[in-house]
Amino acid sequence: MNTNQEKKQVVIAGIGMLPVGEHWDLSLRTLGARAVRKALADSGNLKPDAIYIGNGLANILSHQANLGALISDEAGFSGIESCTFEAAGASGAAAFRAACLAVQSGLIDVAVALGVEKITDCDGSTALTAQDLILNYEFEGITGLTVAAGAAIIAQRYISEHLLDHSIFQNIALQSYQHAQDNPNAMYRNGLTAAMYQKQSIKNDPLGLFDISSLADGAAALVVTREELIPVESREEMVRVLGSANAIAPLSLHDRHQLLQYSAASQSAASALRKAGMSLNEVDLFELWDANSIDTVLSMEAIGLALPGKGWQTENIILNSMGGCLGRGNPLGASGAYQLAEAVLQLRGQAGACQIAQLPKRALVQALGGLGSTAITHILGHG
Amino acid sequence: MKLLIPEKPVGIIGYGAYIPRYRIPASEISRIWHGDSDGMPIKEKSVPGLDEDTITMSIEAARNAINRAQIDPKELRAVWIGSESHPYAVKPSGTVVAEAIGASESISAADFEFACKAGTEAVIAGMGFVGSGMGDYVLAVGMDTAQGRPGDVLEYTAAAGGAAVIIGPASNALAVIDAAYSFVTDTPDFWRRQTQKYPEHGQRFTGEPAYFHHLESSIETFFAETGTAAKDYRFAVFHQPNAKFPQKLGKEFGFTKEQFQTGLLSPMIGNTYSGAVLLGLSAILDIAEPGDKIFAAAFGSGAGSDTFSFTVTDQIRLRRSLAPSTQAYINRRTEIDYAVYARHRGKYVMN
Amino acid sequence: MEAPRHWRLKKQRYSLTGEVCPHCSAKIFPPRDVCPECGQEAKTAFQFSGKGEVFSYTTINDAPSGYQEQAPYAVALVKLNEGPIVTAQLTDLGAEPVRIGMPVEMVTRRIKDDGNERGVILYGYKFRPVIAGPR
Repeated sequence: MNTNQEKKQVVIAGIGMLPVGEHWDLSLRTLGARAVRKALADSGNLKPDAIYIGNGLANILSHQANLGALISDEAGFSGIESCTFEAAGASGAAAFRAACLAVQSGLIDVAVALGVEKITDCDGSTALTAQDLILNYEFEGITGLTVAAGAAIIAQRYISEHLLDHSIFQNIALQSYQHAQDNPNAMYRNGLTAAMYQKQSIKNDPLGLFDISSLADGAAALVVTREELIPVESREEMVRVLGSANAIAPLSLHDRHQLLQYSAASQSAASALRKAGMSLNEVDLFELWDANSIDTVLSMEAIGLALPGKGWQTENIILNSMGGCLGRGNPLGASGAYQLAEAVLQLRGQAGACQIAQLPKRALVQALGGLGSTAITHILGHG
Repeated sequence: MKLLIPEKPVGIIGYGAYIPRYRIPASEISRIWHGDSDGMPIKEKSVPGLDEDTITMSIEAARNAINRAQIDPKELRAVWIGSESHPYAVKPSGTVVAEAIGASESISAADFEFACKAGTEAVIAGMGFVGSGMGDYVLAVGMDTAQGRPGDVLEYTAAAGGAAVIIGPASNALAVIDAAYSFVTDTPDFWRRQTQKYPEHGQRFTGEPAYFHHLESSIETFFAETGTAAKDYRFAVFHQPNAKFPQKLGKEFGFTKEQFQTGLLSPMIGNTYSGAVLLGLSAILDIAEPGDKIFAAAFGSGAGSDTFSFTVTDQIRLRRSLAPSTQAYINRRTEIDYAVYARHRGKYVMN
Repeated sequence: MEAPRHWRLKKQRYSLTGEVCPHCSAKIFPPRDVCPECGQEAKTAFQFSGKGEVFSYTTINDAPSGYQEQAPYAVALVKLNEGPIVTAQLTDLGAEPVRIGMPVEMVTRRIKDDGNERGVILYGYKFRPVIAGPR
């Protein structure tokens, strides 16, 4: 119904990212406010009417709720609308979708979507334990399961059903670390060799150190508005939001009818493409979720980029061109915002050494929360 | 008449063993504490897993007993757990066990404590409960995860395991309880104060005035009042803090090795305290034949002794295969060294 | 300490009590208000046998808070004979390597202390290799 509306209306006017890493000297509020101001500066200093914040763990790790008031005020925008969106790893993408819906509705003219996560305020085991909140506490978390272990359980079944072994994950890791080398905001910029990969310690069999992304601090923001509010001469170069969709699947692994099918990823991608009026082969660039390498494998299959059992073969597409969660680092609730901002850089031709040779026109960006239980897909592109 | 015989005849309807899978050889404990390697009280002892305690072990033994009893757990009218290692100082083990096995809420649940005879004490209470007609079925468990102070002589033997029995009408029993007797005095041979982790014992005082005096008194009275003697029983099981004491006791009364070796498990698994006599009884019931008579004599420090006579019925043939045998648990064995043992028994200070 | 939330789940945790859907007969664990198979209301209690097989598994070395004293430990998806899959720790593995398809049976074990040694002890289901030997 509103395919055309959506296609025409929402544009990304600005982006801002802080480097992902260990920001010992920055608090949650400073990280978030700086990314907001960077994105607004990039938009030519638009004035926001709303700031939607994607965050996963501040309640635990920073002992902080009510981020809307905290961060928006810190950024200098007292009086505007602001609140938090939480969807585990897809929190940043959820905030972005909220910003798009708000702008598209006409009730809000300029909205900022911020993804922010402050991991290093606590010791590592506290952060790990907090991350496990995205599992079903009563029936998964209580067993001592962790997120990475959940991914490993999926991976174990995958390689068993398809008669493969853990070497299938090598290529995904090598590619991500290679792409991250040229991304100034990435945490791991020293590259990864096959020899290093093969000597990695196995953390949760069959997944090793380089198959599991590292949690880290980060903040990324995007400014969205309606095309009609942009001066005509600037409209052509603007990256547009062509499609947006959120879908969920059963939270618990044991409740899924098919463990090896990321049904939410499949539904959300199909729905976003439909809204964009596009087919998959029109997409030039993919930003897919890789908190754990098995996530990418199953996303590839769910979206329709690979047949079952072949999702680890990623050679034929442009994937996670700036390193993804594995290479960039994974600031959980912010990662979805990083994915979107990185795709914008590529579409604008501003990705520096990471820039894809042939300027891409269409990007599919998908963030997953909680081992594929939430999937939020956006299609970005020009005109 | 000193014997304990209920008005309505009662018996064991079902029984179930449990022994954790880990074993530490006595020689390994001796290696750490430079003990005398010639005088080992036993070969090895069972050690509970990191996630096991008297409650979890009682649950498994109880499930085995229910399987053999072929009753709905909702028919139980009491769930009683005898142990000197209840996980809580205050909060019943019995309610957790009752809930886990699916007992009804209209039951009596309680924890018994009488050092090593807490289990048989629960059995005697169960005889009274069923024998008086207050209820058809009672679950009585003797189970322990006993602790010995590192380096102490008890560390060689303090083991984990036990068994559950369901007491019910003799008409449905796999072994009828012919009679019981209980003998107690105030004798401080072994004790543990409320917040202490390890028990204290009277060393050689635990032998003659405690173990032997109480068991001898109890057995003598039981034999006199029932008019029976060792030769009338096919099997016998005695409390077994080590391998030596029960054999010495048995021989005093004229029992032969053939009679007591089936129920003598301490050489393989150690002293399971409240579990010991019921676990030995379970091993005997695993092989007993209809008509066999079994004699059992428990001892608990502090001190007292319970004696029993059982007559096995035809039901044993139908029921014993309905749960894992005692031997299956003994055969399930993973040997651990002292370092792993210390971890399993919480001897490392983690915080 | 959080006694109420665990107390509420005790039947499910201690003995794998689930549900059978009165409309489509699907066996359900954990119990829920809406049958995941047919979408109708489900509330009839059903006692699972506790027998099943390993559907998938992994080993956890970096354990979350409250579980570190147990590490390393294996967590598995166990497919129950009656159909549903449950997430649970494997215990008493001995030297036996875990494998997909391994037959396992439910046992009730200590899950963790709620809080420190002063808290309530939480009990619940785990699975172990089926005990061999005469029955």
